[in-house]
Amino acid sequence: MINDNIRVVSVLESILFAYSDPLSLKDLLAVFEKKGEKLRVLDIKQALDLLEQKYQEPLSGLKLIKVEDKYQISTRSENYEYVSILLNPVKKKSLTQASLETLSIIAYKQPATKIEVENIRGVKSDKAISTLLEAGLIEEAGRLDKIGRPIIYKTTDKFLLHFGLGSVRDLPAITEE
Amino acid sequence: MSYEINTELYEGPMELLLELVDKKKLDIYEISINKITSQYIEYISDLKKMDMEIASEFIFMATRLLEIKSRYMLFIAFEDEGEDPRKELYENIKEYSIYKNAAEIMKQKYKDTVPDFIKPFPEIYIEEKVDFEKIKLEDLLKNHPQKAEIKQEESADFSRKIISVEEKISEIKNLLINKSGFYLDDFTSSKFKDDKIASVLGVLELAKDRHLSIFQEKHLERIYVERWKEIDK
Repeated sequence: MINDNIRVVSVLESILFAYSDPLSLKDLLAVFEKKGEKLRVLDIKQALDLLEQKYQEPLSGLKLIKVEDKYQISTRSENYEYVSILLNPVKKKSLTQASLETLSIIAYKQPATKIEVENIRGVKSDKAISTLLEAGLIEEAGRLDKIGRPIIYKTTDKFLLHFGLGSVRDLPAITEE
Repeated sequence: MSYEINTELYEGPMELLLELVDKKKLDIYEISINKITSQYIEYISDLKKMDMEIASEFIFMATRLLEIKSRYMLFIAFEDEGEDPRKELYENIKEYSIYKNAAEIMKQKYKDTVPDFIKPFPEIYIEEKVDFEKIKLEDLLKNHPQKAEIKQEESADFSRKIISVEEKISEIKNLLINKSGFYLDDFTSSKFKDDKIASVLGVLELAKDRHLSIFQEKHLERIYVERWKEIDK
Protein backbone atom coordinates (compact mmCIF):
# COMPACT_ATOMS: atom_id res chain seq x y z
CA MET A 1 0.00 0.00 0.00
CA ILE A 2 2.89 2.33 0.80
CA ASN A 3 4.19 1.81 -2.68
CA ASP A 4 0.85 2.82 -4.08
CA ASN A 5 0.87 6.01 -2.00
CA ILE A 6 4.23 6.90 -3.40
CA ARG A 7 2.96 6.26 -6.89
CA VAL A 8 0.03 8.63 -6.32
CA VAL A 9 2.38 11.35 -5.08
CA SER A 10 4.53 10.90 -8.15
CA VAL A 11 1.55 11.03 -10.51
CA LEU A 12 0.21 14.14 -8.80
CA GLU A 13 3.55 15.87 -9.06
CA SER A 14 3.71 15.17 -12.77
CA ILE A 15 0.18 16.40 -13.32
CA LEU A 16 0.71 19.59 -11.33
CA PHE A 17 3.98 20.29 -13.08
CA ALA A 18 2.62 19.72 -16.57
CA TYR A 19 -0.70 21.45 -16.09
CA SER A 20 0.83 24.51 -14.36
CA ASP A 21 -2.53 26.15 -13.64
CA PRO A 22 -4.13 25.56 -10.25
CA LEU A 23 -5.99 22.29 -9.85
CA SER A 24 -8.57 21.38 -7.23
CA LEU A 25 -8.81 18.11 -5.33
CA LYS A 26 -11.82 17.31 -7.47
CA ASP A 27 -9.88 17.86 -10.69
CA LEU A 28 -7.11 15.62 -9.45
CA LEU A 29 -9.48 12.92 -8.29
CA ALA A 30 -11.18 12.96 -11.69
CA VAL A 31 -7.89 12.06 -13.36
CA PHE A 32 -7.63 8.85 -11.37
CA GLU A 33 -11.30 8.12 -11.94
CA LYS A 34 -10.80 8.33 -15.68
CA LYS A 35 -8.07 5.74 -15.35
CA GLY A 36 -10.51 3.55 -13.46
CA GLU A 37 -8.72 3.92 -10.16
CA LYS A 38 -10.89 4.39 -7.13
CA LEU A 39 -9.34 6.88 -4.76
CA ARG A 40 -10.88 8.99 -2.05
CA VAL A 41 -10.45 12.73 -1.66
CA LEU A 42 -8.59 11.91 1.51
CA ASP A 43 -6.04 9.82 -0.44
CA ILE A 44 -5.31 12.76 -2.71
CA LYS A 45 -5.04 15.07 0.26
CA GLN A 46 -2.62 12.79 2.01
CA ALA A 47 -0.56 12.42 -1.14
CA LEU A 48 -0.40 16.20 -1.51
CA ASP A 49 0.71 16.50 2.11
CA LEU A 50 3.50 14.07 1.33
CA LEU A 51 4.46 16.09 -1.72
CA GLU A 52 4.53 19.23 0.37
CA GLN A 53 6.77 17.48 2.88
CA LYS A 54 9.08 16.45 0.11
CA TYR A 55 9.30 20.04 -1.11
CA GLN A 56 10.17 21.25 2.36
CA GLU A 57 13.41 19.38 2.24
CA PRO A 58 16.40 21.62 1.53
CA LEU A 59 17.16 19.61 -1.56
CA SER A 60 13.99 20.78 -3.28
CA GLY A 61 13.65 23.94 -5.30
CA LEU A 62 9.91 23.79 -5.69
CA LYS A 63 6.97 24.62 -3.51
CA LEU A 64 3.38 23.48 -3.38
CA ILE A 65 1.05 26.43 -3.11
CA LYS A 66 -2.60 26.37 -2.28
CA VAL A 67 -4.90 29.08 -3.53
CA GLU A 68 -8.57 28.80 -2.65
CA ASP A 69 -8.53 24.99 -2.44
CA LYS A 70 -6.54 24.70 -5.62
CA TYR A 71 -3.01 23.43 -5.81
CA GLN A 72 -0.14 24.59 -7.94
CA ILE A 73 3.60 24.14 -8.11
CA SER A 74 5.82 27.20 -7.94
CA THR A 75 9.46 27.96 -7.33
CA ARG A 76 10.74 28.16 -3.79
CA SER A 77 10.53 31.72 -2.45
CA GLU A 78 14.11 31.68 -1.20
CA ASN A 79 15.35 31.17 -4.75
CA TYR A 80 13.44 34.09 -6.19
CA GLU A 81 16.43 36.30 -6.76
CA TYR A 82 18.35 33.60 -8.57
CA VAL A 83 15.50 32.65 -10.85
CA SER A 84 14.77 36.26 -11.68
CA ILE A 85 18.24 36.71 -13.15
CA LEU A 86 17.25 34.51 -16.05
CA LEU A 87 13.55 35.23 -16.12
CA ASN A 88 12.14 38.69 -16.30
CA PRO A 89 11.14 39.29 -12.73
CA VAL A 90 7.45 39.66 -12.13
CA LYS A 91 7.07 43.36 -11.70
CA LYS A 92 4.42 44.33 -9.26
CA LYS A 93 2.63 47.52 -10.00
CA SER A 94 2.81 49.88 -7.11
CA LEU A 95 -0.65 50.65 -5.87
CA THR A 96 -1.87 54.10 -4.95
CA GLN A 97 -3.62 54.88 -1.68
CA ALA A 98 -6.91 55.10 -3.58
CA SER A 99 -6.39 51.68 -5.19
CA LEU A 100 -5.38 50.11 -1.89
CA GLU A 101 -8.43 51.47 -0.09
CA THR A 102 -10.70 50.30 -2.87
CA LEU A 103 -9.04 46.91 -2.95
CA SER A 104 -9.37 46.51 0.82
CA ILE A 105 -13.05 47.32 0.76
CA ILE A 106 -13.67 44.86 -2.08
CA ALA A 107 -11.52 42.20 -0.42
CA TYR A 108 -13.29 42.37 2.92
CA LYS A 109 -16.79 43.02 1.65
CA GLN A 110 -16.75 40.89 -1.46
CA PRO A 111 -18.70 40.65 -3.55
CA ALA A 112 -19.04 44.44 -3.53
CA THR A 113 -20.39 47.06 -5.91
CA LYS A 114 -18.76 50.32 -6.93
CA ILE A 115 -21.44 52.19 -4.98
CA GLU A 116 -20.52 50.38 -1.76
CA VAL A 117 -16.90 51.33 -2.27
CA GLU A 118 -17.79 54.93 -3.02
CA ASN A 119 -20.10 55.19 -0.03
CA ILE A 120 -17.33 54.21 2.32
CA ARG A 121 -14.60 56.23 0.66
CA GLY A 122 -16.77 59.25 -0.04
CA VAL A 123 -15.17 59.74 -3.44
CA LYS A 124 -15.67 58.48 -6.96
CA SER A 125 -13.71 55.28 -7.42
CA ASP A 126 -14.05 54.47 -11.13
CA LYS A 127 -10.38 54.99 -11.75
CA ALA A 128 -9.24 52.89 -8.83
CA ILE A 129 -11.55 50.07 -9.91
CA SER A 130 -10.38 50.14 -13.50
CA THR A 131 -6.75 50.12 -12.34
CA LEU A 132 -7.43 47.07 -10.17
CA LEU A 133 -9.30 45.33 -12.98
CA GLU A 134 -6.42 46.02 -15.33
CA ALA A 135 -3.91 44.71 -12.82
CA GLY A 136 -6.02 41.55 -12.55
CA LEU A 137 -6.43 41.91 -8.81
CA ILE A 138 -10.21 42.09 -8.97
CA GLU A 139 -12.73 40.80 -11.46
CA GLU A 140 -16.39 41.16 -12.24
CA ALA A 141 -18.56 38.60 -10.50
CA GLY A 142 -21.85 39.19 -12.22
CA ARG A 143 -24.50 41.76 -11.50
CA LEU A 144 -26.60 42.50 -8.48
CA ASP A 145 -30.30 41.82 -8.87
CA LYS A 146 -31.27 45.37 -7.98
CA ILE A 147 -32.28 48.52 -9.79
CA GLY A 148 -29.58 49.42 -12.28
CA ARG A 149 -28.15 45.91 -12.06
CA PRO A 150 -24.80 47.14 -10.74
CA ILE A 151 -21.69 45.08 -11.45
CA ILE A 152 -20.31 43.27 -8.44
CA TYR A 153 -16.60 42.76 -7.94
CA LYS A 154 -14.51 40.16 -6.17
CA THR A 155 -10.82 39.56 -5.74
CA THR A 156 -8.92 37.13 -7.97
CA ASP A 157 -6.49 34.30 -7.33
CA LYS A 158 -3.79 36.66 -8.51
CA PHE A 159 -4.74 38.97 -5.67
CA LEU A 160 -4.20 36.13 -3.19
CA LEU A 161 -0.84 35.23 -4.73
CA HIS A 162 0.38 38.81 -4.75
CA PHE A 163 -0.65 39.39 -1.17
CA GLY A 164 0.69 36.08 0.07
CA LEU A 165 -2.71 34.76 1.07
CA GLY A 166 -3.95 31.21 0.68
CA SER A 167 -7.58 32.20 0.73
CA VAL A 168 -9.84 35.20 1.34
CA ARG A 169 -10.42 33.68 4.76
CA ASP A 170 -6.76 34.38 5.57
CA LEU A 171 -7.21 38.14 5.33
CA PRO A 172 -5.97 39.73 8.55
CA ALA A 173 -8.77 40.59 10.94
CA ILE A 174 -9.72 44.23 10.97
CA THR A 175 -11.14 45.95 14.01
CA GLU A 176 -12.49 49.35 14.80
CA GLU A 177 -9.38 50.41 16.66
CA MET B 1 -4.94 72.27 -18.14
CA SER B 2 -3.30 73.86 -15.17
CA TYR B 3 -5.52 72.61 -12.40
CA GLU B 4 -3.60 72.58 -9.22
CA ILE B 5 -4.85 69.87 -6.96
CA ASN B 6 -4.34 71.04 -3.44
CA THR B 7 -6.53 68.25 -2.21
CA GLU B 8 -3.80 65.84 -3.22
CA LEU B 9 -2.98 65.44 0.44
CA TYR B 10 -6.32 63.86 1.04
CA GLU B 11 -7.87 61.03 -0.88
CA GLY B 12 -11.27 62.53 -0.32
CA PRO B 13 -13.56 64.19 2.17
CA MET B 14 -13.65 61.10 4.36
CA GLU B 15 -9.91 61.15 4.84
CA LEU B 16 -9.95 64.83 5.71
CA LEU B 17 -12.73 64.25 8.25
CA LEU B 18 -10.88 61.32 9.75
CA GLU B 19 -7.79 63.46 10.07
CA LEU B 20 -9.75 66.21 11.82
CA VAL B 21 -11.23 63.66 14.19
CA ASP B 22 -7.92 61.91 14.80
CA LYS B 23 -6.19 65.14 15.76
CA LYS B 24 -8.50 65.38 18.74
CA LYS B 25 -7.77 61.80 19.71
CA LEU B 26 -11.15 61.57 21.27
CA ASP B 27 -13.98 59.16 21.09
CA ILE B 28 -15.69 60.07 17.92
CA TYR B 29 -19.00 60.69 19.68
CA GLU B 30 -17.47 63.31 21.92
CA ILE B 31 -16.45 65.50 19.07
CA SER B 32 -18.60 68.48 18.56
CA ILE B 33 -20.29 68.51 15.22
CA ASN B 34 -20.05 72.24 15.38
CA LYS B 35 -16.29 72.29 15.64
CA ILE B 36 -15.66 69.67 13.06
CA THR B 37 -17.98 71.38 10.60
CA SER B 38 -16.29 74.73 10.97
CA GLN B 39 -12.82 73.20 10.75
CA TYR B 40 -13.81 71.30 7.68
CA ILE B 41 -15.22 74.36 5.96
CA GLU B 42 -12.21 76.38 6.98
CA TYR B 43 -9.96 73.82 5.38
CA ILE B 44 -11.75 73.64 2.09
CA SER B 45 -12.15 77.40 1.76
CA ASP B 46 -8.39 77.69 2.09
CA LEU B 47 -8.09 75.68 -1.07
CA LYS B 48 -7.98 78.24 -3.80
CA LYS B 49 -7.72 75.92 -6.72
CA MET B 50 -9.27 72.53 -6.85
CA ASP B 51 -9.90 69.89 -9.40
CA MET B 52 -13.60 70.28 -10.16
CA GLU B 53 -14.34 66.59 -9.74
CA ILE B 54 -12.69 66.38 -6.34
CA ALA B 55 -13.93 69.80 -5.29
CA SER B 56 -17.54 68.78 -5.80
CA GLU B 57 -17.06 65.85 -3.44
CA PHE B 58 -15.49 68.00 -0.77
CA ILE B 59 -18.23 70.58 -1.10
CA PHE B 60 -20.92 67.93 -1.02
CA MET B 61 -19.53 66.76 2.30
CA ALA B 62 -19.56 70.32 3.61
CA THR B 63 -23.28 70.63 2.86
CA ARG B 64 -23.86 67.28 4.51
CA LEU B 65 -22.05 68.46 7.63
CA LEU B 66 -24.10 71.65 7.72
CA GLU B 67 -27.29 69.69 7.33
CA ILE B 68 -26.35 67.32 10.13
CA LYS B 69 -25.39 70.26 12.29
CA SER B 70 -28.73 71.97 11.84
CA ARG B 71 -30.62 68.73 12.42
CA TYR B 72 -28.53 68.16 15.52
CA MET B 73 -29.52 71.54 16.90
CA LEU B 74 -33.17 70.59 16.50
CA PHE B 75 -32.37 67.22 18.05
CA ILE B 76 -31.01 68.90 21.18
CA ALA B 77 -33.83 71.41 21.37
CA PHE B 78 -36.49 68.73 21.24
CA GLU B 79 -34.84 65.85 22.98
CA ASP B 80 -35.70 62.22 22.26
CA GLU B 81 -36.93 63.03 18.79
CA GLY B 82 -35.71 60.14 16.69
CA GLU B 83 -32.11 59.15 16.19
CA ASP B 84 -29.05 61.24 16.80
CA PRO B 85 -28.45 62.83 13.36
CA ARG B 86 -24.70 62.56 13.89
CA LYS B 87 -24.85 58.81 14.17
CA GLU B 88 -24.74 58.03 10.47
CA LEU B 89 -21.85 60.35 9.81
CA TYR B 90 -19.87 59.02 12.73
CA GLU B 91 -20.47 55.50 11.63
CA ASN B 92 -19.31 56.41 8.15
CA ILE B 93 -16.11 57.86 9.56
CA LYS B 94 -15.55 54.78 11.69
CA GLU B 95 -16.13 52.45 8.79
CA TYR B 96 -13.81 54.46 6.61
CA SER B 97 -11.11 54.34 9.28
CA ILE B 98 -11.40 50.55 9.42
CA TYR B 99 -10.77 50.24 5.72
CA LYS B 100 -8.06 52.84 5.77
CA ASN B 101 -6.24 50.76 8.35
CA ALA B 102 -6.90 47.65 6.31
CA ALA B 103 -5.38 49.36 3.29
CA GLU B 104 -2.28 50.06 5.36
CA ILE B 105 -2.00 46.39 6.36
CA MET B 106 -2.58 45.31 2.77
CA LYS B 107 0.10 47.68 1.56
CA GLN B 108 2.63 46.02 3.85
CA LYS B 109 1.51 42.54 2.83
CA TYR B 110 1.77 43.50 -0.82
CA LYS B 111 5.27 44.82 -0.28
CA ASP B 112 6.39 41.80 1.70
CA THR B 113 5.11 39.17 -0.67
CA VAL B 114 7.64 38.03 -3.21
CA PRO B 115 5.88 36.47 -6.12
CA ASP B 116 6.94 32.92 -6.84
CA PHE B 117 7.55 31.83 -10.36
CA ILE B 118 4.83 29.71 -11.78
CA LYS B 119 5.27 27.92 -15.02
CA PRO B 120 2.83 29.11 -17.67
CA PHE B 121 0.31 26.64 -18.99
CA PRO B 122 2.21 24.60 -21.57
CA GLU B 123 1.37 24.42 -25.20
CA ILE B 124 1.26 20.81 -26.12
CA TYR B 125 1.89 19.75 -29.66
CA ILE B 126 0.97 16.34 -30.88
CA GLU B 127 2.46 15.46 -34.18
CA GLU B 128 -0.20 14.17 -36.45
CA LYS B 129 1.10 11.84 -39.09
CA VAL B 130 -0.76 11.21 -42.29
CA ASP B 131 -1.10 7.57 -43.15
CA PHE B 132 -0.38 7.53 -46.84
CA GLU B 133 -1.22 3.89 -47.18
CA LYS B 134 -4.88 4.69 -46.66
CA ILE B 135 -5.04 7.46 -49.19
CA LYS B 136 -5.89 6.56 -52.71
CA LEU B 137 -5.47 8.59 -55.83
CA GLU B 138 -9.25 9.05 -56.04
CA ASP B 139 -9.26 10.70 -52.61
CA LEU B 140 -6.73 13.21 -53.77
CA LEU B 141 -8.67 13.94 -56.93
CA LYS B 142 -11.88 14.32 -54.96
CA ASN B 143 -10.29 16.96 -52.79
CA HIS B 144 -8.60 18.75 -55.59
CA PRO B 145 -10.36 21.98 -56.37
CA GLN B 146 -12.25 21.53 -59.55
CA LYS B 147 -13.50 24.13 -61.83
CA ALA B 148 -17.10 23.62 -62.69
CA GLU B 149 -17.59 22.88 -66.33
CA ILE B 150 -18.30 26.01 -68.17
CA LYS B 151 -20.71 25.89 -70.98
CA GLN B 152 -19.16 26.84 -74.21
CA GLU B 153 -19.08 30.59 -74.17
CA GLU B 154 -20.90 32.09 -77.02
CA SER B 155 -19.35 35.13 -78.43
CA ALA B 156 -20.55 38.05 -76.45
CA ASP B 157 -22.41 40.88 -78.01
CA PHE B 158 -23.19 44.37 -76.95
CA SER B 159 -26.84 45.15 -76.85
CA ARG B 160 -28.34 48.48 -77.68
CA LYS B 161 -30.69 48.38 -74.80
CA ILE B 162 -29.05 49.59 -71.69
CA ILE B 163 -29.68 47.39 -68.71
CA SER B 164 -29.46 49.17 -65.38
CA VAL B 165 -28.39 47.61 -62.13
CA GLU B 166 -31.72 48.71 -60.64
CA GLU B 167 -33.56 46.59 -63.16
CA LYS B 168 -31.38 43.63 -62.31
CA ILE B 169 -32.04 44.14 -58.62
CA SER B 170 -35.78 44.00 -59.11
CA GLU B 171 -35.31 40.99 -61.36
CA ILE B 172 -33.38 39.20 -58.63
CA LYS B 173 -36.00 40.15 -56.08
CA ASN B 174 -38.76 38.77 -58.28
CA LEU B 175 -36.76 35.62 -58.88
CA LEU B 176 -36.38 35.07 -55.17
CA ILE B 177 -40.09 35.31 -54.46
CA ASN B 178 -40.63 31.79 -55.71
CA LYS B 179 -37.14 30.36 -55.43
CA SER B 180 -34.90 30.34 -52.41
CA GLY B 181 -31.78 30.73 -54.49
CA PHE B 182 -29.95 30.22 -57.73
CA TYR B 183 -26.51 29.55 -59.15
CA LEU B 184 -24.70 32.68 -60.14
CA ASP B 185 -23.55 31.25 -63.46
CA ASP B 186 -27.16 30.50 -64.43
CA PHE B 187 -28.11 34.04 -63.70
CA THR B 188 -25.27 35.54 -65.69
CA SER B 189 -25.75 33.34 -68.71
CA SER B 190 -26.95 36.15 -70.90
CA LYS B 191 -24.87 36.52 -73.96
CA PHE B 192 -24.70 40.25 -73.59
CA LYS B 193 -21.72 41.50 -71.67
CA ASP B 194 -23.43 44.50 -70.12
CA ASP B 195 -26.22 42.20 -68.98
CA LYS B 196 -23.66 39.97 -67.30
CA ILE B 197 -22.02 42.94 -65.62
CA ALA B 198 -25.32 44.34 -64.42
CA SER B 199 -26.28 40.90 -63.06
CA VAL B 200 -23.10 40.59 -61.01
CA LEU B 201 -23.36 44.16 -59.76
CA GLY B 202 -27.00 43.56 -58.80
CA VAL B 203 -26.09 40.49 -56.79
CA LEU B 204 -23.26 42.31 -55.05
CA GLU B 205 -25.45 45.29 -54.28
CA LEU B 206 -28.13 43.09 -52.71
CA ALA B 207 -25.52 41.12 -50.77
CA LYS B 208 -24.09 44.34 -49.44
CA ASP B 209 -27.50 45.42 -48.21
CA ARG B 210 -27.96 42.00 -46.63
CA HIS B 211 -30.73 40.77 -48.87
CA LEU B 212 -28.62 37.95 -50.26
CA SER B 213 -26.08 35.47 -49.04
CA ILE B 214 -23.45 34.10 -51.36
CA PHE B 215 -21.97 30.66 -50.88
CA GLN B 216 -19.22 28.64 -52.39
CA GLU B 217 -18.48 25.26 -50.87
CA LYS B 218 -15.03 24.80 -52.25
CA HIS B 219 -12.56 26.80 -54.22
CA LEU B 220 -13.58 27.06 -57.90
CA GLU B 221 -16.99 25.50 -57.34
CA ARG B 222 -20.27 26.97 -58.51
CA ILE B 223 -21.35 30.01 -56.58
CA TYR B 224 -24.80 29.82 -55.05
CA VAL B 225 -26.88 32.86 -54.20
CA GLU B 226 -29.79 32.75 -51.82
CA ARG B 227 -32.02 34.88 -49.66
CA TRP B 228 -30.25 36.48 -46.71
CA LYS B 229 -29.74 34.16 -43.83
CA GLU B 230 -28.26 35.09 -40.47
CA ILE B 231 -25.17 33.00 -40.15
CA ASP B 232 -24.23 31.87 -36.70
CA LYS B 233 -20.71 32.63 -35.70
